[in-house]
Amino acid sequence: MVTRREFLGMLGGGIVGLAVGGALGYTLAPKGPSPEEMAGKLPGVPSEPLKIGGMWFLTGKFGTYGDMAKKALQLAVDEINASGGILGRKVEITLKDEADRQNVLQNIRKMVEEEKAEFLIGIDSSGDVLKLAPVVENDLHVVTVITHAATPKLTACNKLHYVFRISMYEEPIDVAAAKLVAEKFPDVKKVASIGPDYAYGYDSWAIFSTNLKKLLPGVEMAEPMYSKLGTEDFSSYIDKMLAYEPDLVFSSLWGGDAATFVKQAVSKGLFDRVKYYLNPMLGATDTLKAIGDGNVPTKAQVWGSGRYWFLYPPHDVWPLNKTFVSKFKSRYGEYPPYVSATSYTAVYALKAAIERAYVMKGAWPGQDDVVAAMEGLAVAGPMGPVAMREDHQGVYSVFWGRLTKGAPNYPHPILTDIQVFDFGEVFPAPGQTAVKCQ
Amino acid sequence: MGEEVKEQEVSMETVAMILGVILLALVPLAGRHMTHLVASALLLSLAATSFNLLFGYTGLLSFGHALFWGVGGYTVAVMMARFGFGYLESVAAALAMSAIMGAAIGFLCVRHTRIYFAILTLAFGQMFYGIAVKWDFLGGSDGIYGLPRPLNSLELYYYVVLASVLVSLYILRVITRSSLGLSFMAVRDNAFRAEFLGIGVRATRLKSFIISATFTGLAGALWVLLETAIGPESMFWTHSAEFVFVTLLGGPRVFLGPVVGGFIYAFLADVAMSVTEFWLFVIGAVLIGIVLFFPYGVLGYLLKRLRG
Repeated sequence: MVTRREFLGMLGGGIVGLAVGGALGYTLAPKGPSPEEMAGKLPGVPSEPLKIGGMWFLTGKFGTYGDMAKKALQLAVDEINASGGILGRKVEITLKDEADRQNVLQNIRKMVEEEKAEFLIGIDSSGDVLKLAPVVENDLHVVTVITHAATPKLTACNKLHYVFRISMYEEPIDVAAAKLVAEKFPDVKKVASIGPDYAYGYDSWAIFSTNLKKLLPGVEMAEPMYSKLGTEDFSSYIDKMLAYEPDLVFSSLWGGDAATFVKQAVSKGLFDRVKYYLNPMLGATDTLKAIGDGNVPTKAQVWGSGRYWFLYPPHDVWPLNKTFVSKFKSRYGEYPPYVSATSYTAVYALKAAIERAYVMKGAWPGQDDVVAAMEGLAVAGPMGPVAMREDHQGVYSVFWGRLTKGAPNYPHPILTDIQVFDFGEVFPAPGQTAVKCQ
Repeated sequence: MGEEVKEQEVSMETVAMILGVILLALVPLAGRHMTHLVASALLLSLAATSFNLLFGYTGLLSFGHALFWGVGGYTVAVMMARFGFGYLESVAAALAMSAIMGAAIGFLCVRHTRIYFAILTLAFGQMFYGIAVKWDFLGGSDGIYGLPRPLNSLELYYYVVLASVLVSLYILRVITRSSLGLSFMAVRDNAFRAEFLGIGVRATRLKSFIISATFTGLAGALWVLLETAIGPESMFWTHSAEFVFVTLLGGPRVFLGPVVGGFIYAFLADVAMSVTEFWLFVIGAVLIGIVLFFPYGVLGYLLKRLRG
């Protein structure tokens, strides 16, 4: 039994103890400079925080992309702020939802002109990036780093100044797919395909098939099939494939569609009849989660790629990937998908470019100084070193891996037997693309 | 259902004038983002008012009106990007194209009313959305982008938008007060009786449809020049639903209701998104609130209160 007086006494003692401990802890703890203390310490650097504007799909059926990008952005910004910000400026972020399709440009403008974002990152949709780029170039004049939209047209068909793309785009992955087939599965005679029914699906097939025809001229190809985004029943497509009897199926389906297709193909026995299944968008953790270990085919080889794979480069070879994956996993409870890696890298690319431009100029750099510093920049990301080419396309190596059960180490299937294609083998030269410009 | 009250119209016109003047004055002061925001709010308001000519005045709920926004927009984009025309010819062509499409689609739709009309318009809207996604000539899912903005200046173009919207609203207002406008309302309130009074019901509905489509097309055409780009999503049914939402928000039985709704919607979305990523939830909650507590819309409710 504790009396009221005893209780108050203990409470008082506790408070004194806390105060003493706190004061001691405060004086003894090692102290790095906080961004606030650093502000204004470097000559020519403004003291107010540096704001980065981000736009992804934050809501709706593609909302996972924005969520994962935002988490990685937060991780990068927290890391940078914990070690003094960018040249002493604390980094802040402001976000807008790309799902407001009708107002993409208006929302971008708001971030730049009203919320004073000095740099922009993000953009999921190819359509959005193509309409945004001319506005950034001609009107807004802010350095913008694209982290997801994958149309070859952005960098191949435009002369970009302020816009850069750090993320891998679709063409090198599809070129690598053709190389993978030619090198590893030269026995392929008949190819069937399916893709989403819009530009990405058409382009992806065009790139893959053109390249494969060059490498394996004898291959016979079925008329490509396209399904609407969000298709729930693929049985008619699968039946057509079964009737065609291909050795290889190429699928550029992505997200939920990619998973639904694999699951239904498993139950309809497609993977007992074909030898190989290739999907350039399979290496996305949300897709792999949706497929699940139970649907990993055993007979046919299923191969996937992506813009980043959390186990490549191997963690012992490239420790940065290990740190990134473990930080992301411990903070958010899952393995980082590609949008996380590219968004994370985009922030570090901006940081490196700003720092480089600051040194060259001796004062806080303007937008054009940062552009100059970005061109030819190399930055280390979780996906390995990324080099910014003169066409403002970030280049790094492409991987393809075989779908394998993740158990017992991973909660979803993973890609193994990773095949790497150096950028020189699979990236078209600047200004080149197999896709027709507008 | 409420009906137009004559003595209110004079003060509403005054409100409209004052609003116009305030907006004009606002532009240079409030920065480029505000200019862009107000310009798109104006165009949304014009589209919703045109939609409401059919909905509030003629009693036909179109769920595919973004189709005409898209027709206007794509006509301008195609004329400029594919054929190299200037923006004046392109906007003129967009008006003609919207009227023609309005006549063709309206001819097929006005045979039906109520839910059948709504479903039919929705189907046409989605059909043209599908065409825009698939047709290379229209840029497919990427759309058409990189158009030059008229006068090379957002601020100057804002005045073009403002003037066009004010003139269009004035024309629409004159129409609603004309014998044609009265026949719209007669058809809305009692088609059977209107028929006996010698009003051709189907022809009247078609006229309303064509006028509505033309001004929605104009809004789309001017919007493309503001955005310098257009994609298929501007014809998607969710955009059509935006016109319905905006009209309900402001009040379908008051001429300026959709304008008030358009501004509330544009500013609400703009502010909500800056505050929270659950901005759609905010908009949804507002819609539920309006439907439950303001059945005549915000402006409709205010006018009712003012009248006592």
